[in-house]
Formats: sequence, C-alpha cells, structure tokens
Amino acid sequence: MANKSDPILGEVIKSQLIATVADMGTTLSRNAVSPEITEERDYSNGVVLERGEVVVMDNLLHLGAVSETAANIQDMFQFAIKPGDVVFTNDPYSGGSHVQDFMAITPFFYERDSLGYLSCRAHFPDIGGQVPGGYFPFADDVWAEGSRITPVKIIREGKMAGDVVDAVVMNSRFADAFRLNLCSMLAALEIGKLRLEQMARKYGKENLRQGMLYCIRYSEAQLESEMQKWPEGEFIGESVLDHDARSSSELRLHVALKVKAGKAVLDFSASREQSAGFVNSTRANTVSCALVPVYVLLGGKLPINSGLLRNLEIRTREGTVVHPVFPAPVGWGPFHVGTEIVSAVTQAIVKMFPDRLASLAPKFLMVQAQWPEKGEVFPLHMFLQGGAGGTRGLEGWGTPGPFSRSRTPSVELVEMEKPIRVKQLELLPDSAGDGRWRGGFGTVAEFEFQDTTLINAVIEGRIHTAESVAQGENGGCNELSIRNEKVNGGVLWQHEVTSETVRIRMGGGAGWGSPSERDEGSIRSDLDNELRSRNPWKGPADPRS
Amino acid sequence: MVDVITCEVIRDYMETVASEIFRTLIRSAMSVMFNEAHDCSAGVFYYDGEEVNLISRANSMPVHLYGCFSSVKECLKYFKGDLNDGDVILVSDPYHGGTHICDYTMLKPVFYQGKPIFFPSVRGHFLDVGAPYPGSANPMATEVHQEGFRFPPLKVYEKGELRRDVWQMLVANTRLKHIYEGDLNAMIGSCRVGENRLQRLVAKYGFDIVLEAVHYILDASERKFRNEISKWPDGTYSGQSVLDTDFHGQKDINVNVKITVQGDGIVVDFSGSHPQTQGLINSVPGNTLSYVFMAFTALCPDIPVNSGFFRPIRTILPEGSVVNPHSPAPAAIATICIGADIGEAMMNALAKLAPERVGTISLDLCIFGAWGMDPRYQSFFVTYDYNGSPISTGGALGCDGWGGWAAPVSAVQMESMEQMETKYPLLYLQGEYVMDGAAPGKWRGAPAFHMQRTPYGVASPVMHDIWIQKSTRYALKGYAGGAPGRGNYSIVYFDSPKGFKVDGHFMGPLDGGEIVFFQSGGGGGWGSPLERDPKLVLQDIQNELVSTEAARSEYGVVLTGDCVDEEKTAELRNALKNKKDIQ
Repeated sequence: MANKSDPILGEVIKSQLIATVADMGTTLSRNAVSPEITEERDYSNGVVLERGEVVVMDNLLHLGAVSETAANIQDMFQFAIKPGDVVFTNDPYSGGSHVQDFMAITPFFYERDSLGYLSCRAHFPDIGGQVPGGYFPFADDVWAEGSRITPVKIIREGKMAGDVVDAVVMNSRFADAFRLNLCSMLAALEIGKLRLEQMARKYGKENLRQGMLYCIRYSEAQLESEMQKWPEGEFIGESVLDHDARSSSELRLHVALKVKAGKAVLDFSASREQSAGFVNSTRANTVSCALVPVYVLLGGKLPINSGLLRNLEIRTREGTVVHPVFPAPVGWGPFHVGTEIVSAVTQAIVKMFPDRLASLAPKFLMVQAQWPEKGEVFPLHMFLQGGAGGTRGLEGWGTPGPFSRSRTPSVELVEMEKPIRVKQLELLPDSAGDGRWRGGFGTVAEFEFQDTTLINAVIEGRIHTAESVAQGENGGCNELSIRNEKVNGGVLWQHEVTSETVRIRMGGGAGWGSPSERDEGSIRSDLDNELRSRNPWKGPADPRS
Repeated sequence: MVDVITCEVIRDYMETVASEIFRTLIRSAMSVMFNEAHDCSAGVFYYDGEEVNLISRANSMPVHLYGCFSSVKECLKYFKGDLNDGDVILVSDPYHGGTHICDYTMLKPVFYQGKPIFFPSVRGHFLDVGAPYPGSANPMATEVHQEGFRFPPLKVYEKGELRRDVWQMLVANTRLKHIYEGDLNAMIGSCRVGENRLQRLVAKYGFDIVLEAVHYILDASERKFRNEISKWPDGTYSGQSVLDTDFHGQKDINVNVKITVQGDGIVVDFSGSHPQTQGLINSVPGNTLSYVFMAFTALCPDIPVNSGFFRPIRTILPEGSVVNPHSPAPAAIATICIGADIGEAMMNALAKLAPERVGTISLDLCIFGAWGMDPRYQSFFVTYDYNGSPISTGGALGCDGWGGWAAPVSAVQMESMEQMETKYPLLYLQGEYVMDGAAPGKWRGAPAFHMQRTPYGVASPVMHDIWIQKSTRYALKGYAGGAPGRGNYSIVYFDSPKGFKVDGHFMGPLDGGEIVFFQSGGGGGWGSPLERDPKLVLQDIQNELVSTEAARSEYGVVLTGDCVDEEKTAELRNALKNKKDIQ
C-alpha cells in the first residue's frame, strides 16, 4: 500500500504521473497544427479526481480552470459519465478562463472502477465572435468573443457524436485546424489512459489510487512546511493596469495576504469592480495566477495540483475584475489582469520576505495583423519576449518562467507563409530595469507587409511597467509605432497599413536590488554587448576608459 | 387505386395539419417574433428514402417556404440511415439549407413499416442567437461567424430522450435564455401535435392509401402548373432590380434574372447577378428559391403549393454571387435585402409575360431594433420593431395596396404598439398614413407611413438602437404604368438640432431622450393613374390620403364641391394623356 508507510512506492507513482502528463503534452503538441499549441505551448494535461481535485498537471496557469471545469462537469453529468465518454467545453462561465481555451476530459476506468479523469486543455485559434482569434477589446459580453460550448459529450461510450462535433467545429473560422487540434487532444487523452492502465496493472489499482492521493499530499506538505516560515499578519500587495480598452484607466488590483496559524488567505475582495472591457479574469484564472508566486517560492519543482490549495485559500468577491459575473467579456483576462494578479501577490509576499522573489509579471501587448479578404490573421507579438525580472544571484532572461512556455516562431517560416517581412528582431537595449541583478532585456521587432494589412493592437505596459522588488528599477515600457510614429492610445483597431513599417517593442523585466550595488563586470559586459547605450557607472572611473 | 375525392380529402387534411402545427406554435411560443409577428412557418414532408417532398405548408410566411424545405432536405441528407423514432432534429446554419442563421428549423420523423416516412416541421425566427451584438442582425458582420452560434443538423432528442448537454449548449448561446427555451419547447410541442395528427390520418385510411394520395397530391400540382406554363408564350424574359447598399461600402447591387419558358417547363437563370459582397445581404439558395417560387405561386394562386409545384422549374444560381454565396459570407438580412430584390427582378421579368398577374412581392425593409436594460423590469431586452417595414404592398390588378404586410410576409402581423410599449421601454408618438404618400396607379400602392418612437423611462446609455433600411435610393417599382413607391428614410433626434438622416444603417447607444422618425414609403402602383376610377380617387380624398391638388396633377380628377366633375375630369385626363404621349 502506497500510504504513509510506503513513501517509496508513492514517489515512484508520483514520478510516473508527472511523466504521464508530460507524455500527453508531447502527443498533443506534436500532432496539433496550430502555433498556439505547437509553438506557444499554451496547453495543459492533467490527472483529476472527483470534485475537480487535480493530482498532477504540467501547466500551473491552467490549474484553476482545469480544477473548476472538471468539478462543474462532474456535477453536471454526475452518474451519466461512462467509460469511453469525452466531454468538451470552452465556457468561461463553466469554470474556464476564456473562450479560446478548450478542455476535453475523459474518465479513467480500470476493471470497471473509476480511478479519476484525464484532462487536456489547449488554446484553439478561433471559435467565432467578432474578430478572428477572439480578442475583441470592444466586446460587451462573452458572446462577442466567441461561441460558448458548455460541457457537451463529443464522444459517448467510445462513439463519436458526429453532429455535436460538427456543431462545435463549424463555429471556428479555421475549421480544419480545429478538427485536427481536437483529434490531437483525443490522442493525448488516449496516451494518458494507456499510461494509467499500465500503472494500474503494474502496481494494482488501490496502490495507484493511493499514489495519486500521495501526490496531492506531497505538494500540500511542501507548502505546509514553507508556510511554517511565514510570519503571522496581513501583507498588502497592489498592482496597476494601464487601461481596460474601454473607458477605465488605472485599474487597481488589491490583495491582502493574511497568515494565521499555519493557514493563509489571499484575499482579493478589495479589488476593483469588474470592467466593461475584456480584461476581467474569471475566478478559475485568478486562482491559477495567484498561485504563481507561491509556487515559485517553493522552488518550482513540485507536482502542480490541488494540494497547493489545501491550506491556502484564494478569496474573491463576485463582481470584481478578478471574479466577474456572467456574461462579462473575459478574453484578455489570462494576460491582463492575469499578470497584475501575479504582480500583486508577489508584492504581498515581498512584504514578508524582501529577497526571495523576483518580478514575475510581464506586461503584454497584443498586435495582430489581419487580412480580411483572405480571412487570415497572424499574432505579431508572438515574436517578442521580455519581462523576466532579475532575482537574487541571477540576471533576468526572456519571459518569466510561468509565462515562458512559448517558443518564438521561425522568421523564415512566417515569411514563407504570410505576406510579412521581418526586418528586425533583436534584444532591445536599455529595456531592462536596472538593479544589483538587472531584469531581462525586452525585444524589438520590425515588420513590413506585402499586402494591405489591418493592424489590431491592445497595448498594456505603456505607463505601468513590470514592477520591481528589493529596490530594483521597474522594467522598460511597451511601445507600438507605425512609420516611426508612436501609437499613443492603448488600443489601435483596424488600422490600415500598406508600405509602412510597424515596430513593436516589448519592455524588459524589473531589476532586483539597488543598482548602485551592481558589480563592474556586469555593467561592462552589458556595455560590450551593446545592450546599454548609457554608462550607469557611478564609481570613480569609467571601466571602459 | 384511391379515388380522387379521398385524395383531395387527404390533401386538405395535410394542409390542416400544417396549419395546426403553426397555430400551436404561435399560441405557445414566448417571443414576440412568434406570437405577435408570426415570423414562422410549418410544413409536412414526405421522405421515400432518397427524395424529400413537401406535402403541405401552413398558410404562413412564404419566405420560409423554400427555406424550410431546403433545411429539411439537408437534415435528412445529414442523418441518412441514422434516424430513430423519437428523434427531434434542429438546424440553424444557413449553409445547411435555410435562409439566415436566426431561423431555426425543427423536424421530427414519423415512422411506418420501420422507415421514417413523414416529417412534421416548424421553422421560426429566434430573437437572439449569440453573435457579437444582440439581435443577430449585426451590420458589422463580414462572415457568418459574426452572426451567431452556427450548428448543422443536430439531434436535440434522441430516441425520445433529451440530450441535456446539447440543449444546454444551445441555450448558452443566447442572451434571452428564458424566451429561447420557451420557443424551442413550443416548437417541439408543435411537431408532436403534427405527429399525432399524422398518426390519426394513417390510422383512419391505412398507410398504403395515404401514401398513394400523397403521390397524387404532388402529381396534381405538377400537372396543373405545367398546364398553366404551356399557356404562356415561349421565350426568354429578363428582369432586374438594384439594392441600395450592402451596408458595408458596396453600393448598387444588382440582381439579374432571365426566365425562359419552353413548352411546359421553365428555366430561371440568375447569371449576371452581382458577385457576393462583404455585407450581410448574401442570399443562400434556400432564400433565393423562396422568392423564385413565391413569384410563381403569386401568379398561380389556385394551385396547391407542394413539391409537385417545384418540379417544372429548373434554376441556375451562379456560385459566388449574391444569390448563391460561398460560406462564410454573412447572410443575416438577405431574407429581405436582397431577397426582396430577387422577388422584384422576378416580377419585372414576369410582367412581360403576364402583366395582369404581377404586383409587388418585395418587402421594403425599414427595421428598428433596440437592446438594453429595461429599468421597469430590471431585465435585459432585445426587440425588433417591424412596424416600419410592412407598408410595402403595391397595387395589383383589381386591388389597391392594402397597407399591411406585402405578399412575401403576408401572414405576419404587425406588432401592436400597446404590446410593444408594455414589453419594452418604448413610447410611440406618431403612427399614420401620409397624405399623397401613395404611389399613383390605376390601383394605387399603400400610402407611405410615418412613425415617431422614443425610449421611455430609460436612463442613458443603457439602450442601444439599430436601424437597417433599404429603398433609400431605389424605391419599390410600379407595374404596368403605375408609379414607384416613395422610398424610405429615417431621422434620429427628430425635431432637434442634433438630428441626422440615417444612411442605410446606423448602430449605437443613444442618450435616452431622442425621438426617432421614419418614413416607410409604400409599394408601387399598378396601371396608369389616369385610368383610376374617379370615385376611388374621391374616396381617397375624403380619407385624406390624396389632396385635391394631387388628384388633379396625378390622377387628372377635378372636383366641384364634394363631387367629381366628370366633364372636366375627362378633359383634363385627355390633356394629361396627350402631354404624356408627346413626352
């Protein structure tokens, strides 16, 4: 029995479960056809128990959504879930995050016993709505962002419900890609099932069951022992978002971290009322984002699961920007206010431990090129990286860990496939926040288009950039310019360009520690690498002279 | 061999079944589109395993006629070999038969000898089917994806059991959950009523006799129509109509039709019609054919409408044109713009063939929608006010435009203003015919209609308004020498310095105090106004529909006191006629 008395078997099963979800991810990303899955790797795979209790996952940013969606599905179907069923949904108001993220879940039965569920969740390129891709800053409600697919069985006892699948697929502008992505998801679930079956056969189903519980208990215990170190009291963190693409600006996120008797609450109740725009984060997404700094504090090596939430409560108030009420639009939520949630929680933890965390929250900008007559779009911002903060002992690099699953697309491939020419793509000098350990540098990319192109953009991080910790400097700002003219608002919509150059700058991360303590060698190396134009050397002599 | 009388009895019964399905629907549905406006239809279908036939249809909105037929055809193609007793099938996607995405068609198989044979079916317009903006007539749409939740034929019930997850998915894609569910349930109930009546019919006569009668019914309509066609002179007749705009920058969209009569068959060819456009006016084949057959049924009102009637006609719909667009072209208001133009082009061509039988079958869109919060009920509402559109009837031989709905939507009712004011935060300030607003003719068109409407008890900016109108430049045509209609226009902030005229369409939030004015221009006249019976002109003068000046200048009718001066009238008419001849 893999109970407390047999931790070795528990460890073995835990490791195999982690390998299982990784295997599912490989299957998914190698077979899917959309860059959102294959390149950006915006997906997750998991093993889930009843009441949406997650055993293991491969992507922390999906934890809340997978858990809440699974719980909703279990609640909705109850005993009507049979072996071979697959339930499919994208509904932000059935526990999801935004309509682009689809989740498939299937029960795992072994010898007629239910041993849990396998989940696969991924970002699909389109599901209808006003604009291809679904990011519509002028959406008044969730329907403007895409069709809602509430949990529906697409496979019933192993038999495809063809009409339901067609109905779902037909709502996507890229129906062929949608269908192939869906098939890859089903393949990932099959691989997951196969692996669990192998484990059940090898260790026995009771041992597997206990092993799953061990896995949850493991993460719980790790957080428990970390929280022993937390001082009791209330610690406030705040973060500000430039605008919500509508009438509101300076959206303030507020979190109070309350620690008492080995338990903690992250209380977002004092956050701003929900926005009319698409920056709302569903509760499920808020949970995921709030856990990011906590997970980093734990070293980032634990199984991602519901054990993290056993002693840590995420408290939200309905009607706020972190827990919007149906049918508010939520399309941009996973990014903004998603990263502001990360940032606010980071700031609260920093009040407890000034030197254990780095800045983790990049500011994103979405820039999309659209060719309406061909029905094509391309997310230009995929080329950009930035926002990783410096941390004690280490300079920042690229995009912060939890947000850095994505690979930048190949310039050559994009130029072959789309009427785009990438004129420049490089690290952006002076874009990082200075500090004892500076933040990572941002990037700059310059584009030209062969055809008449429409540019859609939502720009955050123009004013409020990546927030520093431990007296470092804040990160650099984001910027979009067209024909060398800086775009001044936060939103640019259906802007036609023909031969003009479009340049996007993504700011770097924030620094850690006071810049005055920065060592000479590091300054020199940045100067030599042409990543700094000015010499911040404050010592008696310029090391270059 | 069944006798003709039994066959006729069964035909009448079938018509009654369709009508009963329709009645059940409008009495039990919740949305005003069904119970007030009657924007719905019903039919009974026969399926022999290969081909689908319409046996009878309710005396309701003809624009649903072929839409319903083509949707049912697609459903049976889709589920061929996969139908069970107790299934209920629903479809909305305009690229699976049908007309536009908000018209849902539902059908239910009735089994005999182990095969699905009869299909009672209903079709109706849903108020909100998702889409980026409420109401599913999104003027910003350039693709059908922006017009609502698409679904192909979908089983809502399977073997008598509700597919709860599918139902929830459908309901999740409307802003008006309560009404939507009520309407879907009403549709299911109506189909069940149809099923019950069909079972009774078969129980009474026996399956073989009913089946034989069905074949007789179809053949009889075909025979009668072919007889009629043989009387028409052989030849090719062409017609054209032009739509103002596609609401997306494209102006002057033409529909061209060539009708070739040869022996007892007809070919209708739409070659030369405008290519499909980016706006929401593209007519899928179900919609185009609805207007084609509507024109022929209007010419032959005595022949029962069923699939037999469709047989003598072959159609050519060029792919990628406004009359047969490729997916995903938007199609939300094609039922009227460009549908009405397809009807008008057909009538213009047929006027050369049988001038005494033609008239306006076009609907003159002048539609006003609104959505927002109703402060009285604290609830979200979406409404479409049809009151502007109906006044598009034209004159026809023997009949003035009567001022209700035009032929294509003649079963539709105008919503009562009292109902509208009760259900929605609206107040009506004016609603009346205009003097000299009617298109002159031997039989005049319906007079133009003026209406003023204002939000009521609404604080800004909770209400969004939307206007879509045609005939701002190309008014409805007259026939056989009749004058054209007056055309539509509307003014937002009427009687205010902020006022502006709406160009085609307008969408936006208003501040709550505005008055919206519109004119619905009425249909065209039929025949020369100089041939109008002076007594009828006098009647119009007494009813304040025609002024004495217009009576003189347009109709050549002179009054002495309150009576027609026959001598002077004859003199004036001669003079006017000569003047016209010289011109």
